[in-house]
Amino acid sequence: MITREETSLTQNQYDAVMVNGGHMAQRVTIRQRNLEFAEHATGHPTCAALFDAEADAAGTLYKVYISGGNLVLMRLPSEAEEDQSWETVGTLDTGVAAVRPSITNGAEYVFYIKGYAIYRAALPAGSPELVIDNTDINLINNGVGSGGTLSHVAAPDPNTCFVACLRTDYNTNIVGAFYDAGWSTINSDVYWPHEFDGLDAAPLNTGEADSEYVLVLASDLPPILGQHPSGTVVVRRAERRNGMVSFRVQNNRFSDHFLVEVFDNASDYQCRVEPRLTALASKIVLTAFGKDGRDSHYHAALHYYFTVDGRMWESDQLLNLDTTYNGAAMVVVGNYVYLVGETAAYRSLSTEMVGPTHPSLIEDITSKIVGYSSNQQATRQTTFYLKNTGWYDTSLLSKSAQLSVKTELGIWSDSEKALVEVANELIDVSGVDRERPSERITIQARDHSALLSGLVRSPHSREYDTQVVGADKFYDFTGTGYGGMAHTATVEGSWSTGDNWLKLSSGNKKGTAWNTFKTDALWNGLIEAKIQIDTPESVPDNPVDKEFAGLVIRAYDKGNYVAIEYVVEDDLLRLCRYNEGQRTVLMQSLDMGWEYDAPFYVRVMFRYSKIAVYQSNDGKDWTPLFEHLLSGAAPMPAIPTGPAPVTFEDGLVGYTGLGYQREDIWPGPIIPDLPPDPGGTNWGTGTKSGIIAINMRTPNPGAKYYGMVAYSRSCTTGPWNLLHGGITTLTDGKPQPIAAIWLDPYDFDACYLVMGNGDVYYNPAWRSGASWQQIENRDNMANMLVTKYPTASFAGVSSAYVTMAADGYLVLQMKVKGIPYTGAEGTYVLFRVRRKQAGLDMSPAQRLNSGNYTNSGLKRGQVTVGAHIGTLVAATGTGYWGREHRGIWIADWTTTGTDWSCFPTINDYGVIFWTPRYSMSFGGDKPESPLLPWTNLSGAENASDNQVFWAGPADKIYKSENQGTTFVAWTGEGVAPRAAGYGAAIDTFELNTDKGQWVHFIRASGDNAVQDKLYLSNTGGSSWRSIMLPTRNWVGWTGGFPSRDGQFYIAASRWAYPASEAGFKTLLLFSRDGGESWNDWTHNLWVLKQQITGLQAGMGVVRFYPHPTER
Amino acid sequence: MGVKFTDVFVAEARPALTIEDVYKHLSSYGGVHHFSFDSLIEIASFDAAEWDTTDGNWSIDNGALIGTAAGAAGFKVAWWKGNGGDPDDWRELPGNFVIDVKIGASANTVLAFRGSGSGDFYAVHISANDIAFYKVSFNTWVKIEDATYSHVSNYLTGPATVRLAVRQVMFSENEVERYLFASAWVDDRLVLAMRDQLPDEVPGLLFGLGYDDSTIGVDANYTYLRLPDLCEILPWATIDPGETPIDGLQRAIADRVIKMFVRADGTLRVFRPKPGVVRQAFTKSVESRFDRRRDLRETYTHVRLYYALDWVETFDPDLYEPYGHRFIEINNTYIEDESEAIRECAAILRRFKENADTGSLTTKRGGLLLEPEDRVTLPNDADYLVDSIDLAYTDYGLVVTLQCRKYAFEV
Repeated sequence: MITREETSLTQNQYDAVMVNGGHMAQRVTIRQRNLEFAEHATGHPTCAALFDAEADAAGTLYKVYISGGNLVLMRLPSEAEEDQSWETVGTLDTGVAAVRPSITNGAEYVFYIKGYAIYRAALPAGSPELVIDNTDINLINNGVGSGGTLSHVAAPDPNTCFVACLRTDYNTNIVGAFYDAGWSTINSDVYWPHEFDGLDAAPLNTGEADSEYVLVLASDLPPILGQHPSGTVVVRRAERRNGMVSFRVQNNRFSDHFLVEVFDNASDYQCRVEPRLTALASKIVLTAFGKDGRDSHYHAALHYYFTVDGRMWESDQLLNLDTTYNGAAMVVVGNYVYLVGETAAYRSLSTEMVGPTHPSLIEDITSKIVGYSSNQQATRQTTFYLKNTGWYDTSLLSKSAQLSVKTELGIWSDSEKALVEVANELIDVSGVDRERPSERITIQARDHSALLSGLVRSPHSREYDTQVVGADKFYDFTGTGYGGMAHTATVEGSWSTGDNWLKLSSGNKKGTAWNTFKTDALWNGLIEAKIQIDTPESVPDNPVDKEFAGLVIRAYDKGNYVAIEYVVEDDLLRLCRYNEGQRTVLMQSLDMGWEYDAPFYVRVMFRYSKIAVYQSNDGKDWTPLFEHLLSGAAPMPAIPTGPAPVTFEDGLVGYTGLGYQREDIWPGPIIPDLPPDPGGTNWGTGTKSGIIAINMRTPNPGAKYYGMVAYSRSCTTGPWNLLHGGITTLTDGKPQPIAAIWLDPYDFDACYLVMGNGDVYYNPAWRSGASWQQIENRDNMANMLVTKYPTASFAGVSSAYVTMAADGYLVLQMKVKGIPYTGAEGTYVLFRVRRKQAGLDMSPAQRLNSGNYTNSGLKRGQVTVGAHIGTLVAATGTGYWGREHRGIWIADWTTTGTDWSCFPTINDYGVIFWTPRYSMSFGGDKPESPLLPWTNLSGAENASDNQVFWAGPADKIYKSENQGTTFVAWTGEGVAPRAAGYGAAIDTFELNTDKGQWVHFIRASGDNAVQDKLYLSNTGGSSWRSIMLPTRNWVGWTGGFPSRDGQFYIAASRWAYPASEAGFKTLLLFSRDGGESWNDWTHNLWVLKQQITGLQAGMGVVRFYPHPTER
Repeated sequence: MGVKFTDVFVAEARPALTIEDVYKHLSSYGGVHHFSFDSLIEIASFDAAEWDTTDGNWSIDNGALIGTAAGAAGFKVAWWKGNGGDPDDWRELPGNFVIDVKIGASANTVLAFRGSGSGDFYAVHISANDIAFYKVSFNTWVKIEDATYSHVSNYLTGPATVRLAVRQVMFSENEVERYLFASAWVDDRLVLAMRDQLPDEVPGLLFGLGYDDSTIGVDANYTYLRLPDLCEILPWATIDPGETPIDGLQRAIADRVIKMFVRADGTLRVFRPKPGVVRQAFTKSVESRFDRRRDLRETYTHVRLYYALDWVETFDPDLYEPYGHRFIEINNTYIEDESEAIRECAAILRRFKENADTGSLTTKRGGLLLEPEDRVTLPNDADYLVDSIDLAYTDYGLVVTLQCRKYAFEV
């Protein structure tokens, strides 16, 4: 019953209403419910993704953004009915990092990152104040300033901010900074195994005394396991997931996470990015830019969500606004709601969605009611009949909008209505009926339970799982030996139960079993057990493996998990990672002092990337042994082309061991392994139109480069048109060659261009002659280097070594001068930046080969990217002094920057030439196709340890059939470049997708550029043939692309200067027979050369790209 | 023989999901963010009369319950007795529940649960050094599980909100596999979980707040306590693609007797039917019409409910004596706890009893402020529960029609 306290009535009025004891009064109003935004205010700055907006108590709307390292403040004067215009307040600080700033709730301060420190400035004109710098212990622990970066900052109020520390191990740690007579930090203990796609925070308006905040981040999430047909078998595979999650912060403590929205079939076309939170009067609104769909068809929109407590989240509403692909801040000012985006601001009248409804969106229809009926059971359903007096077309009812109707009933009391709100309903149906003698209007409405029973349906699976707990003492009620295994699934080995123990019975073989209390995956939690290893019954003469016992966490299958193993022989407890069956020890204990036939207790707690191992003598009092952070997870491809890599983010828990004994009675069911990760991206078919980048260089010392980009809508017939408008560095003769050009593999009409000075440009539609736009975030790469090494100077981008990783990252190298031990030539540093929508919002650059310049790993010297193979990135490196830096280096994304492995091994120096010619190629992008990376190294044939030959009689071709784990030199007969002084590079093309045929090309080049040759193998590398090209004397090859049908190949190259040609020539070649014969396709591209006369030497094609989707 | 394992414990770090939480999550997803739930206990200002404070040194300060340590060994516990006098009448908690307790600035917190009234209980103790679960028997502490300091170092002192979830679970029909699980969260972060095997006597259901008496100068400070009525922990709730929140709610709640409607102010009212006071009484009047009906077609007098592991059943003499032995068997495998199964079984039988006698009242005098499930007295002087309310303008003005079913709680 509606009680009097819930109304504004006096007791007498309430009593009268209760018995309907007076002259009935009523008021019925309809209201617009949806927000309706239109672009508003002139003078809006264009500022890319790095902005934030908030309003102060007086109603002034502020926006800060970063431009060229400047933190600029704009404001929109307090709300007035007339048109508004943005005005610049000023520059608050300079040299700030390219990290989105954060204005506090109420717009008192803006927090931002500068260098490796957090600053704040009071609005509107405060001076910068240091909040926390990298002398703070929690930032030091995250390596901030030593490879780790501050990737995001979010400030809910002037005395609180949160920063995301992106560590070199690819974990992101959230640190809170709190002011209480001085700033101090609290580590969240959340080591999130992904880079964030955005972070924001807002105060919770719960009315509770404790300060409370909610944080929201967008990120990839642990992949989900699924099963897919592959040929004739069904294989398990991991699928990419992403979404948004929230944390609550109360009493300066971080909660476990809550899920806002999750996509199980995630890609860059099914995602949310750039989340922003704003505290409203009684709830919090979250906005995020999102895409829904697939790469071939998707919908992009701004999404917004509401929450009251940060735990429970409403489904999203969508806004189709053109300029919000970097998100937008929603701010309520009086009766208006603003959406401040990257290049525009929008305004809506306020509705009940965000606060009081604007008076103009309320319409009183009381006097028009001629009929009313309402039924309330589980749902209230109401019908109104209104007399039609011609007002319908000017009413809210005729508007395309979501409307609600509020009904108040009561009595007349002292000439005033004493009303009680009896219903607030959503209008389902309204319309005009031709009811004699006059028309009437009908409204049908349901109360808010309609939101639960029909108006809102989830487009994705939403799961709200409870905490799983389980305990097992393996009671065997059956006496069969297997009756106690109700919560155990064997994976390998023989397992049985007896005497209240789970026993591994496999004689001298490793066994693994899962605990099945949770059958999908445990993300965070613990497992503990009492374990015992009995005195061996029978010790094999030559045991292959050592006796051990342990617990398993993060398990995908029998070859992929994390284990805590106690090995009897050396009495050590180790934390190990098994990846495709290969074991890596992560941590180990001191001597445990454990013995045969005596139980020991092990507990493993796992929370995000943090693993903590404990021991106990009784299973009650636990002692910490060690903690370890697993590496962060691999960023997934923008469009997944295969299974997600095993990343150990979550998984099953279980048991593992090996004991010496006689029994081997039952092998147990076998769970199939994950297929290997094929990696790669299918580039599509052949082309007719194309884009080409060419460098020309003057012959003089200190040569100047002239870079040119041209495109042709039909490169088989020309003409080629210059495409360099808007890039002055291309034409003004500065010594800045084009370092690289490459098409966006997910939007072939777009391309990127890197200049020698590190400038990165983007062209959204090269085939229609669009102009180039400079990408701001490249500054981050240079700034990062200079900040870390104050004496260093940024020297630019080395030429041509750029790759687009299959997961949507651009990998490029930059050269820095002045870093110790590197000499004048400079050190080459690998960066990766994430490609983003429209190419304008590349993520902050991340160093790949970062770290101190020690003698381990790919740290110094010349580094060039060779290829990106699935989750692996390969590079070649030459050390400045040490031999150990030469060779092909391979890193997994999950360990990139900290854990490079080199092939050949460090001791196998001999095969490495001083300056390795590098290339890496790979085939196979389907689960059934094994990954076959190939690489070549140029070096001496008869090398041995500690002996380096600076010139050798032959190059070698190396091949790996295990994703680069090991390579084998291929020395079969017929391999092409086995002549003295030749280097080689290799490319692998898919000849026929359906038939799994591959073609490998070897480009062999002589020492003195006398002659290049092209060799072809379509036998998997077992034999090679030299291919006759139409023109000889090749000195360059810049790659090309095949069609899917194997009928069409194209290559770009350059030709040296025979005197007869009196100049240089760039050729495009194509083949219609799988590379057997080639035709000159250059046509009038030669015109380009002739337009710039007087250039003599060094002309070369940076890259040629045909448009992949055309034939 | 070889390698072997036992005494395994697995605990996940995520919230325990109560029925109330399910309603909150799924309704919030639909856009309904404000709720009206019932509480078994809700204390914003402590009343000493509701607590047995004979054990230890307890006081009330500005509504907070304060326990002052005196230096003796052991836990001192103030047991919640509600309005009960003798320990036998003290209010007991359900077998499975989640309770939220707010503590003030304190590093001496003891939440005692599953107490028997004879000195036996379980407790979670949060001190300046550690968080640990204990089993206490006649003031003898036995540690069951500790968290260790390093793991929870930021979570040891108040102010904080401590959530305790207690579950009694049987993994098979054999009582050997009966466990008591408890987990503790501080400010929404899991800090520790424990299990204890219950092969013999099942512990009691009393709840108390306490302190470690040995730490002089470190007092306990309790400021708020709430035990939701819908406190049972569910295994999961989901909304599949294309489904509504109601679809997910119906699947998660299954056939539990829980009522739900949206109030006039947009608040979602969710509750388990309970005895209530008469909200409005209607008498015979020329301005009203009263119809009533008895329909025994769907009336059963004996209900057997099969839940996840076993079955329970209930009878009602007031039904089977006049109407005969009418038996029905119902399956609800979503219920895992025996006490909850007994309660649901009784609720189902009561629903049959309610639905057997229905009434309909159409009146111009009153009913405007009533809501579904309100208790009313109709002109036959019998009490009913409001099933539905119709409001309509007619030629006679605003008319209210109430569809009601018989009030079947003990009067």
